[in-house]
Amino acid sequence: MKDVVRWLVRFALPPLALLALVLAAWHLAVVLFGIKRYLVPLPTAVLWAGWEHRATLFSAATLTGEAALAGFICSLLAGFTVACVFAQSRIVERSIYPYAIFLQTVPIVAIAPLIVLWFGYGFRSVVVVALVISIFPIITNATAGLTAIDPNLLELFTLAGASRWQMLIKLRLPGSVPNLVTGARISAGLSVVGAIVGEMFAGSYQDENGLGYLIFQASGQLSADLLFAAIFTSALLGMIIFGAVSLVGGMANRWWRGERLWIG
Amino acid sequence: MQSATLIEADSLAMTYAGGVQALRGVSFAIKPGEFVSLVGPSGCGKSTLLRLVAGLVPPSAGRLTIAGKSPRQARDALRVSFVFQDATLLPWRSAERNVSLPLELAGVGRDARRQRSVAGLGRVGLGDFAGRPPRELSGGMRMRVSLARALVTQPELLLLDEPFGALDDLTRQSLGEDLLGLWNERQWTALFVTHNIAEAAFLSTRILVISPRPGTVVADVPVPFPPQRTPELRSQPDFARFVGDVSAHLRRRPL
Repeated sequence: MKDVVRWLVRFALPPLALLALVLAAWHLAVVLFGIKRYLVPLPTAVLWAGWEHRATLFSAATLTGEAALAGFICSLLAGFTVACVFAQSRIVERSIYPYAIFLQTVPIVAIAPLIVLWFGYGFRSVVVVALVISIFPIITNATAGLTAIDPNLLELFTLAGASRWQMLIKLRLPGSVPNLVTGARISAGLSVVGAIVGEMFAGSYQDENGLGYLIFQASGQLSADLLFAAIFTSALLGMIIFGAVSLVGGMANRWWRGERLWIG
Repeated sequence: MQSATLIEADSLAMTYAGGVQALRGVSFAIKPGEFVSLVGPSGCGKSTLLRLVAGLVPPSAGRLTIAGKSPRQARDALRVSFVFQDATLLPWRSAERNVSLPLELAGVGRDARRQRSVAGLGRVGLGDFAGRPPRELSGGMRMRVSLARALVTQPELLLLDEPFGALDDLTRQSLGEDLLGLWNERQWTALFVTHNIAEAAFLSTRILVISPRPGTVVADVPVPFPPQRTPELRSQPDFARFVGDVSAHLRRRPL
């Protein structure tokens, strides 16, 4: 119990104190400089809007979270498969890699309308946008992990007569876990961005709005307090997904180092 | 199979793609049960020679046969194990699961695997550490695990590439003594690469002295000590004289 208190004081208190400070400064700035409330609402107004629209925000965050998670899982599976192909054949890697970079460099807002055109208005398009934006870090990190295996270990497996499949399953795959975790953490954050961008183009569907659509709507109606509340909800959602992936990733890394999965 | 020679090399040469000539005119014959050390300065191609014997790379010229077969075929026909300079263990596997890896790849059943790897760890003095991951073991212990892994398949030929090079002197000596004990138990053929002449003299029945690059065999020296050796051998005058003689061969190299 004492440890929990000490942990809270050391790690939770500083950011919370800063938050209080920033909120106070925000409030003072709006009041002192007479900033128009429809441009920057008071923190209390944002809090109130968040409370008032809590049901809408919660269902929007759930919908966006589902799309982001679906996109993230798809990019994890697809990205890892692509990386496995890359790791098996240098020629395939060299021929596909430039297009993977191309995919990464084209701004997501530029491709999102095209994706909506192809996959229609709705959940599917949102997932695809999230997938497209979050697959690249998985491909690069997983490929790096799969190919950067200690050459001596590869020789050890070769001398023991291991098949390609055994090498993949027993050496390359587990060996690439730290790289995969790095890629997954970046990708998890991006998938939320992708889902929100996707929703701005894919619109409302199934009588439900995602956070992206909500943000779009709120800005159209000049309701800055709801807009702020939706933005904070988006950030919170991103943090939750990033945190969950980091937690699982940390466990995977502990497994890789031969440690126990749970501390304690 | 009790033929006269196990490994036969005839005018072996190795030139790498960049044009670097690592070996030239290497000829030797090794009988089953011999413990042969390859000594020479760093970069003389002795590790390359080991990799040729393992069939990991083909020679540029010359003939190399192991039990009458090519190194590649020999790898499947008889059991060949390789010990690297680093322990090269899988960090996510316990000591026991690292040792059992070659058995696992060969399709040995779980119970037999477990039993043989635990016994193998016991033989290198790590019976109590079976469940520990590599990161909880010292450098010397990791190398012992590596040794146990190489021996768990009961190899007929053991290739060791400066296995104790990264260890401190005391650990190196105690591992050498254990290696010798294991060899006396089951007389596999060993090809041991080192640049430490005292280590080679203590362990082997024969020493091949390799010249600097391009490497070639400049001396083939039988070791005059009986196979059953104790640490005390290291402090005997005969031993010091022998080490001096072998060093002289190395110094007489063409520059």
